[in-house]
Formats: sequence, C-alpha cells, structure tokens
Amino acid sequence: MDDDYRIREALSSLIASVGLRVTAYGSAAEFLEAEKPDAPACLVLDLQLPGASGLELQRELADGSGPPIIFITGHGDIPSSVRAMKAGAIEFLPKPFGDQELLQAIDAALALDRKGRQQRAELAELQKHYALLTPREREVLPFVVSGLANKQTAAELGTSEITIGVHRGQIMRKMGARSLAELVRMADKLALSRGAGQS
Amino acid sequence: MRVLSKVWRYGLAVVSCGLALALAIPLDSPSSCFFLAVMVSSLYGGKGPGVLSVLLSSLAFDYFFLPPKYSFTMQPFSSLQFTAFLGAVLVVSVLIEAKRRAEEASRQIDAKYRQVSDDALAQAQKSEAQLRLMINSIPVPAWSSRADGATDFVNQRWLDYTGIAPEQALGWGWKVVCHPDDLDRTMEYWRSVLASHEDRELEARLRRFDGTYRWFLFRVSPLRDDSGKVVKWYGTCIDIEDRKTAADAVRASELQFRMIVHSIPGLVATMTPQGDLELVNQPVLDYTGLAFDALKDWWATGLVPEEELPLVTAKWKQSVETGCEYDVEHHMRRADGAYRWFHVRGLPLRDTHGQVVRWYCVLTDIEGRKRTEEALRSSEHHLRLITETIPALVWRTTPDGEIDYVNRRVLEYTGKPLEHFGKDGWLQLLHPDDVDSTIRLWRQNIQTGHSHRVAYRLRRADGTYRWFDVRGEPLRDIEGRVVQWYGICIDVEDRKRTEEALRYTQERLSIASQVATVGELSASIAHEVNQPLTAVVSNGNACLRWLSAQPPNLAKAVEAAQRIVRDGKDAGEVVRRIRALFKRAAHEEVSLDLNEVIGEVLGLLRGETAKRRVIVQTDLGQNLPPVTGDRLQLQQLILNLLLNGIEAMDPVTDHPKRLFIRSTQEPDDTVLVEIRDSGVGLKDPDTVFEAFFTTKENGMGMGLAICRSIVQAHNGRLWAASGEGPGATFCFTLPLQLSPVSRLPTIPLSSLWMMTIAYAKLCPA
Repeated sequence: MDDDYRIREALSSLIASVGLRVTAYGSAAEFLEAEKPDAPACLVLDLQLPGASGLELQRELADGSGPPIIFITGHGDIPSSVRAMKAGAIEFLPKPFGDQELLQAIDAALALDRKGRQQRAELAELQKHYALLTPREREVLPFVVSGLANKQTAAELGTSEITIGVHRGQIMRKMGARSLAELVRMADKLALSRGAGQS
Repeated sequence: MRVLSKVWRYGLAVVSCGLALALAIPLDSPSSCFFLAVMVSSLYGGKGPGVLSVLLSSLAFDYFFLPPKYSFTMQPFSSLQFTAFLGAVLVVSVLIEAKRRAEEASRQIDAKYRQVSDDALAQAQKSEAQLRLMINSIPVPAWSSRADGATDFVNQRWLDYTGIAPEQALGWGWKVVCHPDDLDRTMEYWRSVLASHEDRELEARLRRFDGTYRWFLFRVSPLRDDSGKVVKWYGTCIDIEDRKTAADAVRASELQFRMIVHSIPGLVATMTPQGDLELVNQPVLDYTGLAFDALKDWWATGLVPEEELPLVTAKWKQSVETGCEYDVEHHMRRADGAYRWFHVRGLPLRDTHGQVVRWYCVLTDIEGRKRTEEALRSSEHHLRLITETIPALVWRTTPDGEIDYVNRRVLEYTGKPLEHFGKDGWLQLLHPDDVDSTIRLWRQNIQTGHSHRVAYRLRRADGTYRWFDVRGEPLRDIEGRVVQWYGICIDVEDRKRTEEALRYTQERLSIASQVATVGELSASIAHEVNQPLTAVVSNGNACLRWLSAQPPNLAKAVEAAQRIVRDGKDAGEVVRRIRALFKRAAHEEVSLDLNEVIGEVLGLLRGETAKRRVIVQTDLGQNLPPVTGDRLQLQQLILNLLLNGIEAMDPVTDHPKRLFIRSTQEPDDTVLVEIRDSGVGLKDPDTVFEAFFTTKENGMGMGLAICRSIVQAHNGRLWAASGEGPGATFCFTLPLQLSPVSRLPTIPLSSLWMMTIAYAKLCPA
C-alpha cells in the first residue's frame, strides 16, 4: 500500500515477478474496505499515508487477524521505526531498498502468517470443543488441568468425588484429549486457568 | 402873574391915564386919580408904561388942571404945583416900580424855585418808577418790611413766583407760601433778625405758583435812620434750588465716588494735586494692614522696598509737578510682610482750566502676571536655548520659502552665515543628486501647504555629506494662511549606517533562520527524489526478475522497463525544477502567475505534507492575472506561510490536519492568497509578525517578520487572523500593477537552495 502510484506499480511488478499474488491499495480506507483472500498474506505499507497513517493502520490491525506488516518509508526516522517494530512489524525498509531485502521480508512475513493462520485454526478447533462443555464442566476443567485429584476438586467445589470423575471423563471426551497432558496443553492454548475459569 | 404884552402894558398906561382924566374932571381930584393911574400903570404895566403914565398924567394935569387951564403954559405957581405933582407921581411911580421889581424878583425866584421843585418832583417820580420797575423786574423776588417785620411790599417777581395776590402777601400773609417744614425755622430766623438788627441769611423753601417748592436763600438788610434806628427791612429771596440740586448731586456723586472707590475690588487711592494721600479704599487698608493715617506717609512705612523707593518717589514727584500720567511697577508689602508686584497707575483729573484737581491711582496686583512673565521669559529663554542647542538643524522660512532663521547648529554645521541660505542659497549645500527631487517637493509643498518631509544629504563645513531627515510644518494664521514654515533637519547618517548594519545582520539572521528548516525541507526534497528513485530501483529489479524467470516474461519486463524510463524522467524533472529555482536566485522582477508559484512550493512540500499527514486542499482562482515580483521571494513567502501552517498542526490529533490554499482576484486590483490551517491557532494575530516572535520551541521567530517585509516590498499587505474553528489564517494581497519593487529585504533563498541541494546529495540513496 502506497499513495504513490509509481511505487505501487513498481512493487506490484517486483512481487509478482517471484510468483506471488499482489493487490495494490492507495489508502488505508481502500484496504480496509477491500475483500481479502483467505490465504497467507502480508502487507507492504508506506509509513506516510494521507489520512490514517501506516502506524495507525497497524494499530488497527493489531487484533491478530491482520497480516504481518512490512513498512517502507521515504524518510525513516528512528522513533517511527522503533514504534513500528514494537508493534510487531516484520521489517522497516527505507526507500530506495533492494529487491532482496523486500522479497526476503515478504517471505518471512508469509511464513509467519502461514504459522499464525495454522495456530488460529487450531485454536478455533479447540474453542469449538470447549464450546461443547457444560458450565459445570468448564468449572471443573481448571481444577483438572491444575493437577488436583478428583477428591480434592470435589472438596473445593463441594461435591462428591464420583461426580467429579464423571465430569472429567466428559471433558476428556468432548475436548478430544487423549491424555491429561494433552488437555493441559489445550487449556494452555485456550489460556484457561483457575482464575480465568472463574471469571 | 403873567407878563402882559408890551402893547397891553402901554395900552393899560394910556387907558388908566385916560380913565383917571375922565374921573378927575368930574371929581376934580386929579392928583389922586392920576396917582391911581400911575400906580396901576406902574404896578401892572411895568417901568415903560409907568413912565408913560407919569408923562401922560403930568401932561394931562398940566393941561387940564393947572392954570392956565387947557394950556400947557404954566404959571409960576402952577409950575410949583406941577413940580409937586410930578414929583409925587414920580415917587409913586418909582416906589411902585421898586415894589414891582421886588415883587417881580420875588416872583421870579418863586417861579424858579417852583420850577426846580417841579423838576425835582418829576425826577423823583421818574426814578421811583424806574426803581419800581427795577425792583419788579430784577430776577429775584424781593420785599420790604416795616421795622416790626410786617411785610409792606413784595415785588412782581415775588408775586409771579408765588402766584398770590399782593394784598395776600403783605403783613404776615406770606407765610402761606413757606414750606411747612421750614416755617418754624423761618419764623425763628426772622425773629432773631428783628432782635439782632443785623444782616442775616436763611435757606428755606418757597412754594411756587404751581405748588412745587424750591429752595431760596433769604437775605435781609435793615434800613436805619440817622439815629441808627431800624426803620425798614429789605430782603431778597435768591433761588438756590438748582445750585442746591447741583450741590446735592455733587455731594451724591462724591458719595457715590467714595462708595465706588471703596467697593472697587482693586486697590484704589486718590491723591491731592499736591501729591498727598487723600483717600484709599478698604482693599488698600486690608492689603497693607495699615491705618489711613499711617498710609499718609507711605514712603516712610517701608511699604515700598527701600531699593525701589527712590525711583517710585522720583516718578511720583515728577508726575505731580508735570501733571503727566504716573505709571510704575514696583513691589508693595502685604499685611503679612510678603512683597508682591504691583502696577500703579495714576491719572490726573483736571478741571476746565486744565488744573489738576485730584489724582486717581489704581494699584493692580500683578504678582501673577509677573510670575507668568518671568516663567514666560524663562520658558522663552529655555525655548531659545533648546532651539539653539538641540542636536538638530532648525530653520524657519517665510511663506514663500525664504529662510529667515536658522539655529546655531546650522551655522556651525554648514559653516555659512545666515545670509547664505536665503531663498535658494541652501540648495548649494545639498548633494547634487538630491537637489532636483528636494526642490521639486519643497516647491510643491510650499504651494499646497502640505507637511514637508524629505531626506537629503547636506554638505558639512568640512565638505563631507551627511544624510538628514528633514521635516517642515507650516504655521498658519486663523484664516489658515501659511505665515511661516518651521523645519528641522535631523542627522540620520549614523542611523542610516546602523540601519545598513542592521539590515545586513537581519539578512544573515534570516539565512540562519532558514537554515533551521533546512533539515526538514531537505528531507522533503529527498522524498521527492526518493519516490521515483525507489520506483526505478524496484522496477529495475522487477524487470530483471521477469527476464530471468523460466520462461522469461518479456511483456512484464518491458512494462517494468517502461516504468523505469518514466520514473527516471520524473526524478530528472524534480531535479530540473530544483535547479531551475536555484538558477533564478538572482533578484529579478518578472510578471508571474501566483498559482504557478503556489504549485511549485506545494510540489516542494509534498513530502513534508505527506510525512506529517497533512491534507492539502487548493482553490486556485482561474485566469488569475499576473503580478509583478521576485519569484524567489514570493516562493519563500508562500513556503514560509505553508510551513508555518504545517508546523502549527503538529500537535493536532483530534481532527484531520487540513491545509487550505486559496487564490483569487480581489475587486481592488489585487490578488489575494489565503492560507488556512487547522492547527493550534493564534493567540494574538497582531504580534506574530514581530521579529523574534515564536511559539515554536526551536523557532527563531524570524519567518513571519521576513514574510511581512517581502510583502511590503511588493507593496502588498499581509495579515493574520484566527479563523472560525481551529487554526489560523494568513492572507496576503499583491497589487496587479506594481510600482518598481522597492528595496527587497533578503535574498537568502539561494543560499537555502544551495544547502538543500547539498543536503540532498549527501542523503543516502
């Protein structure tokens, strides 16, 4: 994304020359409105844009769903680059830059996005399983993953050991966990803990 | 007894003799008859008839009675008889004659006496009539009284005046015309006069016929007989009403005069013709604190200071002697001992003969005036001192421009005498280059009466020329006519030099101030060059990749190559533009399109605005007529204003940063350029143009001051306003038809561009 058509054209051609699909946008608004393909992607973003700046757009996309960002800039000042990198930019390229620099950055970004997408897919899968749990089971889960015995859990929740055992079996089945260790990893990914479970 | 005529007397003698004869014959007593006849004739006829009768008697006696009768012859006896008869008749005749003579004499004396007494009587009667006439006609009522005082006569005038009848006035009747208030007094007076028997006078009022009373002076004198006893009183009444009225008037006027003198709020004194104090009014007494008697010897009281006294007395003496006006200013001591200035004027009052009868002196307190005069004199002195000593050349001219006064400085500076200046002489002292313009303006101002203001170089006595700032103002009379020109020439040589130095410093400062923005601006320009360069590099790489692909994508490679050419040209254009700007760095006035200039500057700032995310909006007037000016300076002007606006928006985060530029032709044959930002706005739009005014942390505050000097040099106007909503608005107008651009302040942009280019070169590609 660049407001200068010359840069847009040149970079589109360069990126396309390595066999990647390219879509060029002239402004942040144009980008936000456009439909994005559901595939690993990255955003090559000019730091100075009319209206919302590159950094603002980055902030807007920081919820995790956005693609990784490579900043290009005509005058790269250090504070901007630091902010951009801190906010998770893959690379910060001052113009004019070499094709290798850009393409490597794009490769890295695509790999990252691919990985991210995979993680997001796994998480979505887990969340789907987690959604199947009854409220009582969600209450019990943190106790289970924290390593407490059924007896102790029953005492905590004020119920019988047998009931907890039943819940535990249900949880294991619904979550598709083959072992307690796997369940713990799942809970970790879902960022569940005793505290979180109670909230 | 009447004297009988001669004939009658002689006839009487004849007749008496005849009768005596006629009687004597019958009676025969001739002697007695003839005696009788002689007696009668002598007695009544006088001497001649007596003699005739004697003769006739003697003849008749002789003829008729003496024998011989009837004959005149006489007998001796008869002769005796005749003689006796003759003797007897002679005696009788003589006796009678004597007696008659005596009687005649007595009668004559008697007649004479009678005559005399008759004359005297007539005379007396005549003089009495005259006296009466006189008494009646003298213009004074008069009267006489008996010894006891009862009036026995009043004259006509008296009657005319009083209008009463004479019989009414006589005795004591006159009292009715006496004024009732004066009656007692009059009677008393009259009684005292009667008692003293002396001349006395009295003033009293008498009623006139018309009922009015007038004052009279009564004078009465006694008439005495031989024994000294008063037999009669004579009196006159003199009308003194007018005199009395006049006297009253005089008294009243005198009184009034005194009142006036006393009530005059100033100090007034009157003096006798001899110079002595006669009268002073209360203010004099109050002021001096002295009693009138003390004031009489005023020269001895210390009233006038001792050192002034001789002059004062000498002057006064002179005035008294000559009668000429007295006019002296001197000090006079007040009651509290303080001396104050007085102006004393004495004027003589003269009678009809020119004799001084009185001196009137007015003493005016002139302390205030004296002080004012003193102050005036002092201020005049000061003024003169100022005029002569102020470090400027002061001059004055007649309405037609002829110099009639210059101060000492002028004479000292030029080394010329006053006469040298005159009407045109001073022009010789001017620098030859300044003469024409100066004289033209001066003559024009003399004609129109406008304030004169000019600057020229004036030759000093040593031959060097120095710059002078010259101002002249006309002095006008009430009708507005110029009566004089006053002027001043201030030596501004040093100031001019200082200004020169200041201008130089300012220029350098201005350069320095521009250097401060060079960093940002160079980044901007670098960006301008960088964009096409980046595109070129990327396109080049893309081209290579398309070519080296398996199989090579020639179409894409060609596209990329074409873009390289295009963008390369772009970059070249940017550089060319900068170079073009740089080339025009030398000052020149050209006809130019302001929109074009705005476009050039915006082009330069594109990077800057992009970097700061400023949205630039333009509304440039179509068919904008060209203005005359220096392109570089106008670029600098617009650049400064735009940068200012951009920087003003730096802190803005809550709304879009918009920079709005508008150009339009105004009705008054100017082009207006308006630059509006949405920044922090201006707190005080009036002060922003002052040098060293800045709101920026690193600003020098010269930008807007330079802008203003540029606009003013182009005869334009620059102003600022805090517009509606956020931000500030800067506007400037430039006239379409420009007079030659006056001294342009700075040409620092060339240096700026130099540095910009240098910076751009250094910038890593």
